[in-house]
Amino acid sequence: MKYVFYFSLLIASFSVQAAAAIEHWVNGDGVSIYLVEARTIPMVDVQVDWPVGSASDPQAKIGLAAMTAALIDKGAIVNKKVLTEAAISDRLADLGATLSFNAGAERSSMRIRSLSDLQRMNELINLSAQILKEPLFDSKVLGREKDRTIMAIKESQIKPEVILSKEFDLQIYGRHPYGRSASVETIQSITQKDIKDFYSNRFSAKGAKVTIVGDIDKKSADDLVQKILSGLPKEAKLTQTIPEVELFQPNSSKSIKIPHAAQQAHISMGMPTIARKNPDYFPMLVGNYILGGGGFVSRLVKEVREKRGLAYSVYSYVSPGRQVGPYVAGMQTQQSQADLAVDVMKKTIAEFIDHGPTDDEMAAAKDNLINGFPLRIDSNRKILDNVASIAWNDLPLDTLDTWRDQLKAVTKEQVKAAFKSHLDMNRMVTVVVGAP
Amino acid sequence: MSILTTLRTLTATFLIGLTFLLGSSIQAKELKTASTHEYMLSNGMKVIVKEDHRAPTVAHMVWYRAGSIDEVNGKTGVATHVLEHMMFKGTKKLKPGDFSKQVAAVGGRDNAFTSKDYTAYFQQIEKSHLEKMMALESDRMANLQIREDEFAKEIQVVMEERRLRTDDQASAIVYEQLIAAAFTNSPYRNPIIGWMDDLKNMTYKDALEWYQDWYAPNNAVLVVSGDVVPAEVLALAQKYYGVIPAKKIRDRKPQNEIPQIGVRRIQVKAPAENPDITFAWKVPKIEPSNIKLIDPYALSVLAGILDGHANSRLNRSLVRDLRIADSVDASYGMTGRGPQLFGISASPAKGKPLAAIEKSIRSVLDEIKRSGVSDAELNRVKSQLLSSQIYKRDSIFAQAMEIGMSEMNGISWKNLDDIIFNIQAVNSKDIQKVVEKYFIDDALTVAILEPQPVKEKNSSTQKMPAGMRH
Repeated sequence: MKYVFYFSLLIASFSVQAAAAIEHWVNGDGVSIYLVEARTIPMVDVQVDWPVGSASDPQAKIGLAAMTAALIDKGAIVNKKVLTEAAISDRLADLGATLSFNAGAERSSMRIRSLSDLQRMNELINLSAQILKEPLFDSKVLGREKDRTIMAIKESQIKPEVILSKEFDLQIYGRHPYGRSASVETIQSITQKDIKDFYSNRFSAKGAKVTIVGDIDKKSADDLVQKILSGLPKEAKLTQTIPEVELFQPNSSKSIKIPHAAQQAHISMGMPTIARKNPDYFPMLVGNYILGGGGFVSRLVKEVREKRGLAYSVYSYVSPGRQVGPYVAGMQTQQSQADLAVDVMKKTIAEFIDHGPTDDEMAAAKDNLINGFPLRIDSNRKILDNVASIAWNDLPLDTLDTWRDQLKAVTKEQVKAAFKSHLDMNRMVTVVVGAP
Repeated sequence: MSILTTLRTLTATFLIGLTFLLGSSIQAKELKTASTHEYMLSNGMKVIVKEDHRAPTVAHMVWYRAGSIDEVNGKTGVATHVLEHMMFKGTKKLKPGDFSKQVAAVGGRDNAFTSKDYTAYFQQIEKSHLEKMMALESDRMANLQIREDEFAKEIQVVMEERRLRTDDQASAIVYEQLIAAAFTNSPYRNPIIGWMDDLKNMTYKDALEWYQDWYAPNNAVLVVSGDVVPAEVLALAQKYYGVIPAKKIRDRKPQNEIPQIGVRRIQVKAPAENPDITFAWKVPKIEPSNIKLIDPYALSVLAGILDGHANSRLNRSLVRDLRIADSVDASYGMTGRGPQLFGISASPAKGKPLAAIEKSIRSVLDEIKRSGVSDAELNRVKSQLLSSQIYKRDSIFAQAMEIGMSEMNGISWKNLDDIIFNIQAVNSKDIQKVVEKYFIDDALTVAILEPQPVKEKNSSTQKMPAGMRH
């Protein structure tokens, strides 16, 4: 079924290839490839995404995906000999290239940036293929990375912003895997075998998505992907399944206060809203720009910062992914003003949900988002981010081409309806760390 | 046609880049100068235009040579940083907040930043809106209104910014204390955001005075990068900035830092879980009057050798081999209007004493002093530097930043390629020499963070998260 889907996309992309800047195809190993040729600078950016994230962490070993990602480039077995982490980092630096791994909630990603001359590219392709084929997962290195992670967790646990974000995630996602975070205990329990098993069972060529932007043609891009992923199993033994994120029940609003000795209280409020593919995406984008996303001109900034001088930073955003993501509004203010600040935020958001935007605000928001569109794609790095997101979320290949038309089509009524249906003060959760 | 095709045009400028990459480093001299143009308006305002036609966007920046280094005691933060905030609060023509509104209307992104050396304002826009940005930016260069009521609110915002960025962050407190200890009489010793007491006692008149003293075309540099035609930019600059009269800029006293005469050690107690230690040696910077002196370039390569990649000397030794640190960083300010420091900071691994960290850092430095560095290490650092020059071209904003910062620090953009060339020339002996010469205790300040438990309050029945009970 999946294969058929890819196949039809392949046909479609060939038929519009002449016009479309994003070329997309699926190679013989089942890797989905997205290429944007940008020949002006002799450099290439590559991002490989695997559907393996912290959502796959066992309950007792939260942090396993992140630890695996941190260890992949820390040594490899090449022709039965050890290629040390030192040799790998030296080689990368010699090439003037960067390579990094990281794991998020849904995916693990590898990012490579290199100059595009053939000699460097070939060396880098070989090195990355060797790293992925048989990572060393050395126990001494694992011990070190565990120690460092534990120290970092302990340090972050006393920070109000970290306490806030952990509690807020827990409130938003409940028992869903996205609500979990690593602790000293879960990191401590991770063994070398856990990492090896996690990697060998879950990472494969098939199902990976690769986005490439830069000074490279289609044939070379296809070769690059085939070679880099050649050492991985064709198919993963275990695939990631993520439960649906649940929306909040009616009349479930909650307020949580956690004391802290910091000078400022840190505040977040919000609730789960929509997934990226929801048709209300653009109305929510426009509405949030007006409410709290539009930097210095948003309602929240006006009410909290400009009128009352309560905070340096106040904002809101909607972060939809493959799964439903939350609306989040946040700020920091000195503790004695926290209650006032929460009131102002709530009133501002409630007013917007009830009455929606004005005509002037709609015009200003659309002007900004439409006129500012070229700034979203004016560098290879930004194009990489956009195209990788299109790839990951299975969005249409013409998403960037139709972006401005989609925004133009949004009406005031749609914004109001979207906010009314996805946001509700009677379901909103508020967390304050450093409450007076 | 797809919108992404706008990035595909191949221009001559980038072909030069390719030659540079494959050829010798001398060709680097052509790299930055080829597409950059400089003009001087009759009122003394310098205009620098960097052409880059990859995408239809433009970065428009105005840099004022007025930073915290120019502030006086009792008015720290006033100046530079508070005024940066007030610049968004209206002019004779614009109401407070209208500036950002007008930039937003054309889809622009605008902001400002303040450093020890300068204050800069910028907008990123689609290219057809450049003229409007110049109209707005030149208006607030000449016609800013600083209203008492707006100031009263904004100073509260600035105090929240200080609480957020400094007072509630152990590492920021340590840095602030370290700098104040390292410098005795240089105004570099004051934090850019200002001491809280100075912020509390500041009036709108202080901000006004700062504006009148420093905001003038002859104390500013305009940098425009992106998809523009230089002659057109110049014509617009004439029209908007060229009509603003020059001012007499008040004398700047050099306030050269007095020589340090012995090691300085400070302890800083702040809420934290882990201790850490920072070393800062007073070192030379690139002197605008003689950019050929090799020492700053040797120090820059040294920073790369110590901390340029995951297996460079400090990380390899302290984090990977000896396992006494969880992290270690080196940093060096190669340019600046004031005196510069070479910093090394480290967080110990669990249970490892700071004394062991200090000993190891010293032994890494001693080893270099004794035996120098290998060709492989030198080439690695230089290879990273060269590729980073190529990567930098991916951002027109980064290119404008590089030009602006350099100009503020007294170094012409025309010398940017010479700097790269000079770094390429550094050899092992140069590095040995700078370690020998500058990494001495008499020029050293050490700051130790002594972690304090976070004070708990008992005002709530809420269960504390696990790590909060320390």
